[in-house]
Amino acid sequence: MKKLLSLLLVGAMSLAVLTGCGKGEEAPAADAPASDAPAAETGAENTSDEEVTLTFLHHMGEQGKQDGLVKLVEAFHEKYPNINVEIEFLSRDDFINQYKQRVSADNAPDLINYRPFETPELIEAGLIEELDASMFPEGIDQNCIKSLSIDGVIYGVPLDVGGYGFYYNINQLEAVGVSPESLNTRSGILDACEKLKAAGYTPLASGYAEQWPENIIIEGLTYTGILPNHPTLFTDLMSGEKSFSDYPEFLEIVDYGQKLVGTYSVIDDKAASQQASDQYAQFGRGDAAMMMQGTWAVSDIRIAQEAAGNTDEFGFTIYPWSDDVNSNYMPANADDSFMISKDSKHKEEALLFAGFCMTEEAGKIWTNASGCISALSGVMPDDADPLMEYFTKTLADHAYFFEMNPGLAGQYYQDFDKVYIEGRVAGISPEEVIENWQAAYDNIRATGG
Amino acid sequence: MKKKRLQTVSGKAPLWLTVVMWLIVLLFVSPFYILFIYAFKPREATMLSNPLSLPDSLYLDNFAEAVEKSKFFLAFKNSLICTAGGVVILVIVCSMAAYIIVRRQKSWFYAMWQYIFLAAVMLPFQTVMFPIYRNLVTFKMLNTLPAYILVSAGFQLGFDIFLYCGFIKTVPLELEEAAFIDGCGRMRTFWTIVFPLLKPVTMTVVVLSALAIWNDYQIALVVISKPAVATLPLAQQSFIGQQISYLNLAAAACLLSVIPIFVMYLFLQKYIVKGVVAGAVKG
Amino acid sequence: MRGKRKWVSGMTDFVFLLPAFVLFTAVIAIPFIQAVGIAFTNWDGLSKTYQFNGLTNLTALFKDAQTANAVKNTLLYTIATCVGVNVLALAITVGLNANIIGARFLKSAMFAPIIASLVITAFIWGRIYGDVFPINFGMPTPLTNTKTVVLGIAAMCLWRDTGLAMVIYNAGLQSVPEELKEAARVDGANAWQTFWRVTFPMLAPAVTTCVTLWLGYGLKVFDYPKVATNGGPGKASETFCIFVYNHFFTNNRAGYGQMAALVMLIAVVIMTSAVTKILRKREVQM
Repeated sequence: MKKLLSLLLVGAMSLAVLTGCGKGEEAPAADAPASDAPAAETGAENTSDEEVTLTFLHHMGEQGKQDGLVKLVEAFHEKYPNINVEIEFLSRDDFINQYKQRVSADNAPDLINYRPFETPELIEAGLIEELDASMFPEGIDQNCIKSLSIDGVIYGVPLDVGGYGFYYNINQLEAVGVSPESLNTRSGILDACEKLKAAGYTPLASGYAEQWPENIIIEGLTYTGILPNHPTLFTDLMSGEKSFSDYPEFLEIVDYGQKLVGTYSVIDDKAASQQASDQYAQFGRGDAAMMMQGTWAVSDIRIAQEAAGNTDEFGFTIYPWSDDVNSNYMPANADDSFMISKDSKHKEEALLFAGFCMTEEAGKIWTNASGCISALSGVMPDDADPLMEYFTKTLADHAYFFEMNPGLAGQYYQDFDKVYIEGRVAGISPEEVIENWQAAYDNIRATGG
Repeated sequence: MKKKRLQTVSGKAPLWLTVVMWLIVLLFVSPFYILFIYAFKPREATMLSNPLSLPDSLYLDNFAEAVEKSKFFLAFKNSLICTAGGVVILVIVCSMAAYIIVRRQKSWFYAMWQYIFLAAVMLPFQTVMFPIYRNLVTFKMLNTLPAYILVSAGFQLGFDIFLYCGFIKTVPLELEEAAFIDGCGRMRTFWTIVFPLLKPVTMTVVVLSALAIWNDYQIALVVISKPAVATLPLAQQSFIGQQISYLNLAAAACLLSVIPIFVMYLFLQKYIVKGVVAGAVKG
Repeated sequence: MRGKRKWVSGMTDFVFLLPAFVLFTAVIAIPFIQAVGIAFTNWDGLSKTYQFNGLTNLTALFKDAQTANAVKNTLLYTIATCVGVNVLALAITVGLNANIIGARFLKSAMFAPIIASLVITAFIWGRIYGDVFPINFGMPTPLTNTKTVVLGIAAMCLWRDTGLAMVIYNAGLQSVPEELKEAARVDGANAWQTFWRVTFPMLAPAVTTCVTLWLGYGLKVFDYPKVATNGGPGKASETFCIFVYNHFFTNNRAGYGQMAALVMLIAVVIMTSAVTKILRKREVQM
């Protein structure tokens, strides 16, 4: 009996392997031969009915965005029936790694969901196709386009815009006598936090067991606090021309960031253990009065709010770094955008897709499905969330597209965030954080990075 | 002086020990509770302030949704194919290699290979991950199941040969010698006489290798990126995004993945013991 | 005549080794040689060209302040898990073998955590640390404190791997002849003494296997810290493999990362061989 069982097992497995080997060669359609590309030179003539399949590599985990992508692709396919777009998802952590692997192996995807700002090394290595300004309609903020360029050359196509700021619970603020308008200065925020804490509310929702919610704090403060006056901040820090101590603003920023998280957010053990998804839920339930987060958080906030039966009203405002209202901005960027690989074997078709995404039809599809703010101004979703109004107003009045300026690259970027977080967790002084930053950067340079 | 006895008169263990052991094991199994409650709650419920509460009712939609969105059955099929394929290859390849290494140990050539394979066990995947990727692209074998099976098998090779070697050392030579005298060649001797005797260690190799390949994440991450050939760990991870996570769906997908491997273990567990005795214990 | 037969027999023997040889060469040996090639260049993993730069990567590695951090974290993790897993597994196995009611069920149950994949483990423990710890134990999650994060990750490994080590120890225990234990008991030894003087020495091969295995696993650990904290907070749980991985891609320093990977391999081989040798000697003495 036992022998029979083991024989059967082995037999079944072998069968599976044999059939598996056959099925393994799937997706043959994706490898359209490279020789087709030169033939389809003339852009508009896709009546050269060769089936072309583009690859769109993305990392958008949100269901709404994934649905939006599918709908965009479908609508595009209707217009250009001979062009298919194959959507591939990769988690964000390994996204760039995977992309680099593919490129170095001559296997670059045609469209890649990443921004030039985040990967200057790709641009420097000449891997991304340059785009022509004419393909962008007038309704797009010029600063937005600039934020997708490097050295004046445009590389990215925006699907939506977004940014970070302060969500606040109107009801709870009222209860402690804080007016939302006062939240546009640093002291205003700190003052509100104090009042909330004194009255027994949790001032800031915490998600700081994970790193990225804290990354956007230090990044947002730096982008709006120092970058506007020193556009070459990051290039100078990386090259060593300037040191961190040359910018006294860093001391204020680090101190402020540490206070926000250390004093007003991570107030007990439970708060210290919350991850990002908990943060949205905490705010949505009404367990915290304010939250430092991005515009993408809306749908989850609403889900949590409904689940908890909370009827409070929410608002949204900028993320102030100083007490001077005029130099406080909302760090904004073209959140979901994509670029075209230079090594793409179907560049014409990829450009067609990019062009399609810039139409109102596409804009409407995207904003409806994803709930994000369309990059094309004036395009609003059919069922706009009340917070949308706050977003669009804040963007219109205070947006700073920080990605207009070169950012940090590679290990410098990693260490910027990590050193800061380690400092906050260890509770060291802002001066020490600055020293550690400098030491880390010197180390990178010394070891040939 | 009171002597503490580990056995009471009746031969069974004392009560305090039984209770302690049950508690310890319960402690080890309890984390799965978390998987259960998240899998059976709708997403909104996972956002309420008491995350450890029992679900109000058994919400089964998570499973349906998880299956559909992660293309669970496809991933399941892929994982099954890769695991089965990898295990079959490993059993055949490793048993043969270990056999000849043990039987020809006096030859420097074969003895050397024993050490080489052992060293391979210590090789971290990161050391060769990049060259492997580039080679796969050169041969256009990226995103293919056969490539994944071969790479996974390659990394299990060293350990499985080690297990087989240990066991084969305990197989008496007389049986083979008798076969030689009767005129059997080595190959026939191996498959008809020796291999059937290796059943216990083969079962160990099957279970341990199957586990390793079924749960593998590192190699899959490098070799696979198309949903058509995704394996289960990749499908499970797809619900945990950077900015938004669907923990309920992730839990449901995870729960579904655990069941088959557990069933396999229940069937094969007694063989593991036998194989491990010889392979790892008798040295 | 004789010579030809010997040659044929020699070839047949090689055929046994052939498949393993081919697989090994294709998947391990050749990539390894390619890796060595990259380690002596300044390639960033991306560009089409790169230059040979001799030992620069090696010297830089030893000057890098982050190297020491990665090594420290890896060693801490390895010691915690190697000792933890072995002690726990042995203790629980011995306990379960003392004729407990339901021992077979309990042994199967202990194997359950191994079945959980890494993603599952990280998910479950993320919630345990995040929700159970603060509420039930009044402690914050160990994963956010730079001093406790490595231990927190080690605990995840302990949970998952103990069952596996138990299988090995269990097999070892069952191969200890009853007569020896009976003889000791008759001589008046209590349970503790029986264990130390009779059982434990007989377990020497199992101990060697387990300690060596988990030493290797610990030194090579990548998955657990990567999925649990991605090396954080900051770099407090960055193990050597994560250090290498980051240099490959995130930091665009493939040549440097590859050199680190090679140094690591050498270190792992040396350490593991040394420990195995010591333990085997002890085996013989026993």
